[in-house]
Amino acid sequence: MYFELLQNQEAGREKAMDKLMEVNNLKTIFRLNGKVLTAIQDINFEIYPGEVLGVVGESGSGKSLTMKSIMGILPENAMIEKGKVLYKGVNILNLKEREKRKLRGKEISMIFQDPMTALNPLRTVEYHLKEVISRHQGGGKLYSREKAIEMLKKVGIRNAEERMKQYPHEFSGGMRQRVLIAMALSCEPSLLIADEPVTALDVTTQVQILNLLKKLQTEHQMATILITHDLGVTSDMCTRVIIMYGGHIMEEGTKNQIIFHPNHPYTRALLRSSMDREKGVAKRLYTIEGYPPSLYEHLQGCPFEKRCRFASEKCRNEVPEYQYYEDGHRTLCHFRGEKLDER
Amino acid sequence: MKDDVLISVKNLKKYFPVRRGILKEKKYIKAVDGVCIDIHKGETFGLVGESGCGKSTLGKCIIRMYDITSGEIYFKNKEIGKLKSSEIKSSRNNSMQIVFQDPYSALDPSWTVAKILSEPLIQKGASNKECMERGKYLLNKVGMTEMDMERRPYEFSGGQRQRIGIARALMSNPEFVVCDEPISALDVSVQAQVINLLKDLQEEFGLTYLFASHDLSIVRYMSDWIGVMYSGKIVESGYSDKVYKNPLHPYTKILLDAIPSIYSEKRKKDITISPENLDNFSNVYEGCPFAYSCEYAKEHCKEGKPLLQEVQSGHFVACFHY
Repeated sequence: MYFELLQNQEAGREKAMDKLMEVNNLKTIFRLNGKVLTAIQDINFEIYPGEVLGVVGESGSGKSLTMKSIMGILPENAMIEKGKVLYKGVNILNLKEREKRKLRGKEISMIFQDPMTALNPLRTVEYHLKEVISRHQGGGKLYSREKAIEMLKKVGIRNAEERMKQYPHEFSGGMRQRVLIAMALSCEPSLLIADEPVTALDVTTQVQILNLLKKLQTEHQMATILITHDLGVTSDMCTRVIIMYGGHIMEEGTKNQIIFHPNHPYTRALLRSSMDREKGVAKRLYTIEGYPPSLYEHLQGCPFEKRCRFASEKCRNEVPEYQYYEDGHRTLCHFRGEKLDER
Repeated sequence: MKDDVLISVKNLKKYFPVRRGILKEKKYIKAVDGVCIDIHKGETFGLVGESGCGKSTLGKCIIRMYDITSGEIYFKNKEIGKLKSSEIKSSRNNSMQIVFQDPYSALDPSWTVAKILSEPLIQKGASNKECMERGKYLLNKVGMTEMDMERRPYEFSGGQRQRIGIARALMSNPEFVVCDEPISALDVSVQAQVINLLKDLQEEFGLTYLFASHDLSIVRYMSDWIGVMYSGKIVESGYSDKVYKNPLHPYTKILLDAIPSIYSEKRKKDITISPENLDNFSNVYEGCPFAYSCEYAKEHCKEGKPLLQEVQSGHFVACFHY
């Protein structure tokens, strides 16, 4: 099946506008103390080569779990119940573990949130990089070493030859994140999944890392899924945005649609409650009362119903269906955006 | 000294000793290096800076969680900088408290909320009944219920835990609370809730805050007065609107530019403050700590240390360009 994938990849190069990946009806569940908890459901989205897709949501909304489901690195008590992930036309959920391992790192790479825990504290940076390179590209020791130096230079680490011999604790947070980016990009993946790559960093370091990602992303023409809960970062980086809440995709649209014409009550509330430089200072901040639903709650209707100021009887009892607008903009809500404006 | 100054810090220094190399030469990390600030009663002093700039250390020195190297701290005109830890304990419990950054590690996972909240009062010698009553009262104030008293931290979300942390800080009815990045570990929608809560509590109990964060837009929202910290020093301070709308120090400008904006299309320029500069240069080199990252730096910036001076009324900056 992996061979098939490689062939499709060749074919894919000719039709550049083809979808790189398509996720269909993905549903992942947890088994906990004999109970079955649905973590994410009805996840549908596509990603095209060279685009940056932002996935925005609060913690517990299922954004990381969606990506882990795609990568096949779920925790042991989690299971994909149904759905397909077509990567270059092949359903990668059905691949054997050995084949998946070839895919990860080479075709699809991932950057994790916390750069300290993602690196092995007992191994040098050189070891980390050489491991990825020799596993996926083969080549001799010399080749992987040279490639490692090249990658470190590319992500802006000076004195790469010397710094490579150091251990993760000798690097600052921003530098560690650069190492992770170097590792993730060393095999030139077609798809990069960056899970909150700048959340743990200072604002000034954030700008550096985001600019670096942007530069490398254009250079390699690589598709990127950027998971974040910061709408400012989303607005800066992404071409298209998915808003997740309670395991569902609540709204999907281009960056401008989401930022300037949001049609879902949750997206609107998120935007209103964010502090922004361009906004004036209000006496009180707008807040979304309450907390996101926990997995233990059994929801009959819309997951956002309890915190939504437009909620009605219908929202409590019926799961909403998608409302579609122009250019693929959609919301999971009983009401259309224009209706909400009037209320 | 004016009457409404609750806390006055004069030339505060806190050095951490480090021993490195074969000769075990003693060196110091100057975490806080000559800071002077006044915090007025009922106001919020916002402290902005990157990690490692010394803002947490400053906060912890003021409430005397750390012994200070030199300098003076006045709390209600009383010198507390030189007090012994046994003496400081009573005054800290009565009037100064802290809310920590990470609500996941600041609460003991095996304790019930009731026990967590009682701890500061038990130190003061209050009875169990008093603790319970005050605990329930404050839980209601921070938007939780009495039912939560018997639950344990893992049963709560991050935002709720931070509410418990705030309630704990208020148990001993303090006048001054250090908020050390209280919202940076929280989700956006919950951040706004906690910020509003802190503001409401300030109004109701007449609290004075020292609010530390790396996000200038949040600090501006919370504070009456802002201090920008870099490498252990205050490089700019002033009324929050003045600093925010008209930043004078090159570092403040960079910090402000770095905040990602939702509505602005402008791409951020790449910023070159390498974090390595932060901890080494200030200890080794004379001169302005920011000189090695500053695009306007001239030769004389690397030679003498600029002093904090008032360039407009209510706006101080430590830079040779003013």
